[in-house]
Amino acid sequence: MTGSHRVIIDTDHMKYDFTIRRNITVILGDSGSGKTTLVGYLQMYSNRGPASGVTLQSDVPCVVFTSVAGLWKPLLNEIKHSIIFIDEGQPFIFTQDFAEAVKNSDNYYVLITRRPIHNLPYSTKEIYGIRTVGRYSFPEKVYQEFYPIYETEIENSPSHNTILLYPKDPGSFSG
Amino acid sequence: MLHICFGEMENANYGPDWFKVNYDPKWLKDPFVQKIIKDVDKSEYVDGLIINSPVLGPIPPERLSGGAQTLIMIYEKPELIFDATSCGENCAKILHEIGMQKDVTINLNYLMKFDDVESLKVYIKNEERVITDMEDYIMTAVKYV
Repeated sequence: MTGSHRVIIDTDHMKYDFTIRRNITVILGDSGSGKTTLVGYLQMYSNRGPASGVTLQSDVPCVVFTSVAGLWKPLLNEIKHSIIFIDEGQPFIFTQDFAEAVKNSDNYYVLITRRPIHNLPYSTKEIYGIRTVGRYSFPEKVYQEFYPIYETEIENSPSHNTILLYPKDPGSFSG
Repeated sequence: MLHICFGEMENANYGPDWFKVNYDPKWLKDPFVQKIIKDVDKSEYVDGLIINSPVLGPIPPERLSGGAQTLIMIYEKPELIFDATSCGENCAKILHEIGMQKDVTINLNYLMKFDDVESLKVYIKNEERVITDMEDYIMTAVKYV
């Protein structure tokens, strides 16, 4: 799979709108920002499609992957040409076997984890948090977007070039 | 005190799962648990098993964030070790507060910063020593995560 894929997940109470650009995207950030809710909606859609009450717009299938220990590899191997979301608490994503499986598949992976994944080559540009756009108060609809956790800045000096990474302000979510 | 073990640990428990299947409704009456819910999820405990989230509306405890659930488990079950990697950095201050109230041991697999803590005091099990300096804490943590 190549290119960017926009994903919109919509319910009467909440809407997520984001674009997945690379084969590995990492989601982290504060607790309570909506990471598990996002996966929950996708899981509901995976189980029952539009009958779940969740609307999904994407040009490729979005799959939530959970696995019993030891069986992840053959199950993952069955999924092709999809965006695969894996929530935290799945230890297999830190293994070299998983890194190999990612390398040899045509899927994109969205991994929710704060623990660094040393085996996977992913860009700091593709590490995101989730934030709410504008004000919110239930039952008004809440709009959620991804924001890059790190901004990069190239600092030029006479002696060397340094790439600085620093946390970006999460913006409007807190409060 | 808050005891931290950085890196992979075999006997560390996963807080969100533990909470969902073991929480005691009485815990929600505890003002400190209500503070966790308020500080981390910006939500208010109402009564019974009802929590009012500004984003999700009325929710049961099972729909609290993984970070809030893990903090509650660390607070209520100090004899167990939980993987606090489920807790975002917005959990750090209250996690340190729990450590000021009782001895707890957590596992951490990322560099959780304690920037909002005024007087840092944690015990790092990997090096068997107390750390009170933020820079020392960061330099120590990055060796293991």
